[in-house]
Amino acid sequence: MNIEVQGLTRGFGRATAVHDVELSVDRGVFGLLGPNGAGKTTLLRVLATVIPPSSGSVRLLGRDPAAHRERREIRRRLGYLPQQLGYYPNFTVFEFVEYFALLKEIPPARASRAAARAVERVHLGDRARAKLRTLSGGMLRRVGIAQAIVNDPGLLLLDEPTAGLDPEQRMEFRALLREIGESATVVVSTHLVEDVGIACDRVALMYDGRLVFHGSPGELTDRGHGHTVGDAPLERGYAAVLAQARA
Amino acid sequence: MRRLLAIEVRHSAMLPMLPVLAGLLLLSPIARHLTPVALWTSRSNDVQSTVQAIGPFVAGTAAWMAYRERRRAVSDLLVCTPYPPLARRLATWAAVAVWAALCYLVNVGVVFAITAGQATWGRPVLWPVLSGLTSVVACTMLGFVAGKALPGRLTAPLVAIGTLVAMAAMMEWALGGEWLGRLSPIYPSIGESPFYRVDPSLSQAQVLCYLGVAAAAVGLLALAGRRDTRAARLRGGALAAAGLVLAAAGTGLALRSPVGDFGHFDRSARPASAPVPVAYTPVCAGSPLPICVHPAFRRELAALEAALSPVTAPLAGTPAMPSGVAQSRHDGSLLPFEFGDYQLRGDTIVPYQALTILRTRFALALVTAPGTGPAKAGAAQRAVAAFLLRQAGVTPEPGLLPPSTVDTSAAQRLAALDASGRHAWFAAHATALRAGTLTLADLP
Repeated sequence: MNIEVQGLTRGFGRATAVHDVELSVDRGVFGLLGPNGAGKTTLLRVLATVIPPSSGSVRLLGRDPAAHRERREIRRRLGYLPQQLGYYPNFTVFEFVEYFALLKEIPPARASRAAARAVERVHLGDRARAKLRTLSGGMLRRVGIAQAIVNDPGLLLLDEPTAGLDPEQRMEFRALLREIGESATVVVSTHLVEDVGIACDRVALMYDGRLVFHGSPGELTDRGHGHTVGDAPLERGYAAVLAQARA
Repeated sequence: MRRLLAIEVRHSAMLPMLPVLAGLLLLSPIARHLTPVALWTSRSNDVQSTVQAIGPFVAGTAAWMAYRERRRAVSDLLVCTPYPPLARRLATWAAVAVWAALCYLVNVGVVFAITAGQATWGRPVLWPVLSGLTSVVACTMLGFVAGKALPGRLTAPLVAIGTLVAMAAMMEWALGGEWLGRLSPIYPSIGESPFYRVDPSLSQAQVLCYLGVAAAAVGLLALAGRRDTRAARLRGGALAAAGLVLAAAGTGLALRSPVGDFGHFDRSARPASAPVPVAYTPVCAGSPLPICVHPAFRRELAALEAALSPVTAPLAGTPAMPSGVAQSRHDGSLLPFEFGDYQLRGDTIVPYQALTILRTRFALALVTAPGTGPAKAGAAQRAVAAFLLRQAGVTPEPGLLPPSTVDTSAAQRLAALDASGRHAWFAAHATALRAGTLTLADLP
């Protein structure tokens, strides 16, 4: 298992953002669904080793992120796209991705090649020399994805990756996710149930800091039988699980 | 690290600031100071003092760059990379330091290139240059640490203003006699007199001090890195301690340095210290009054001759006529100038006031015994000096030769004599006049 989480709780002061989460995820694309404030971003930040858990244990790529040496190993094989992508506006697309390639300790001799490949994979090859400040929101999102995949990660964590992408780009992106998911664990946090249905092998649903569903997209769809809220079968399953959790 | 540094160098905030900094340097006093006569020692001090323009600027820029991660909300992205946070921050700082050092060194190169075409003796003194360079680097490090410790949009301008105020305050302390002020990067750290060997001890003390401060700041940066490993923080603590020791050593050396107020030897505080004279062959020009100066002042000979020769015109062929004029360390047979051995510079004799002072002192020196200051000159001596100046078309400097109706009338009596009568009077009375035994009544 590339992600093993047991009893994970993360609080900020008196508020608990993630409460007693148990999760095991192996290779493939894993969708993390849930309404705003459900704790998805906090869970992803813990998995990205940005913040430590308040309690519980986490193992990523078979290593313990609490130990410095192992955390460093994990980070070498980690890709992360935060919900709010910060960037340096004067960097070019290529420089930004190369910068992160170097920070991910890809040897300098290979960093340029890796950056060029990542930029091509998100279809920004023709804008590689463009300054980030000149890009549209969707293009910036793709730059964020490029920096996340530049090190061919074993664990890729994407927080709202398709926000700002047009339908064609979303289709291309889902194809990219499936390709990466063949050799790595990809966790995609999203509001877009449609993306999960098409791209993910497994899906979890969070509500109020807790994991209220964990299964395949088909199983989530099954939970929606007889439920009337939602346009698509998967949406009805999503709504049904949420309604049950709220109840 | 090299590749990362290359990217940081290309995107350092220093880059767009360079034209502004170049403008600041052009407007700084040093640009106006580049007169045709130059001493390598003073130019070396001058380039060090450009830290006054560069230091605050680069400190503020470093603080701005330190705040970049938070300003651009890139922290989460950076935190989850394996690269050591301290090394990443140092790369960002180093990019600022590289540009700052380059800017300083280009300025040094320009000033020295101009000086090379002007100076007639000596060579560049590198210790003040090194002192300036290390202080620029220390400014960037301190600014960076401040930007990390107090992140905010106002930090950068506040750091720049704070650095400027700190430098000025230290300079004020120095001028007030506080030895600690001599550690100010803008304090001239070597003596400028070409008559004595350069004592680099204060420059060296400054270099040690700035290196220590920079090292301590790096150590603090590591020590404060919450995301760094314990080992890295421990190393940071050790580096901070070593830096403080180095800075303390530099401060101690500054305290012991005999180089005092603006490069003068502070003999009162350190009686055992004495400047070491350098051997040189004076360069001379002019007839009938040969003027000899230190070779560093070779370019001023013509101006000096034009200024002094007319004053001696009535004395030609009399015992009162000096065999020559020598700057400072004279060889007995020549008339010594007692008005400072290194202030005799183009930019001090060209202005009217300074030229008048020079001529008045010279006229008084002609009619008094060696070593007699202007204040000790007798009435007859003052009257003759006033005559010598007036016949050369010079109004005496009132501070040295105050206007006096008695002196003036005596001078007018001398002026009224015909040339042969005056020549005869000077031939007969020159020795007594210089000895100070003549009174106004003895004048013709």
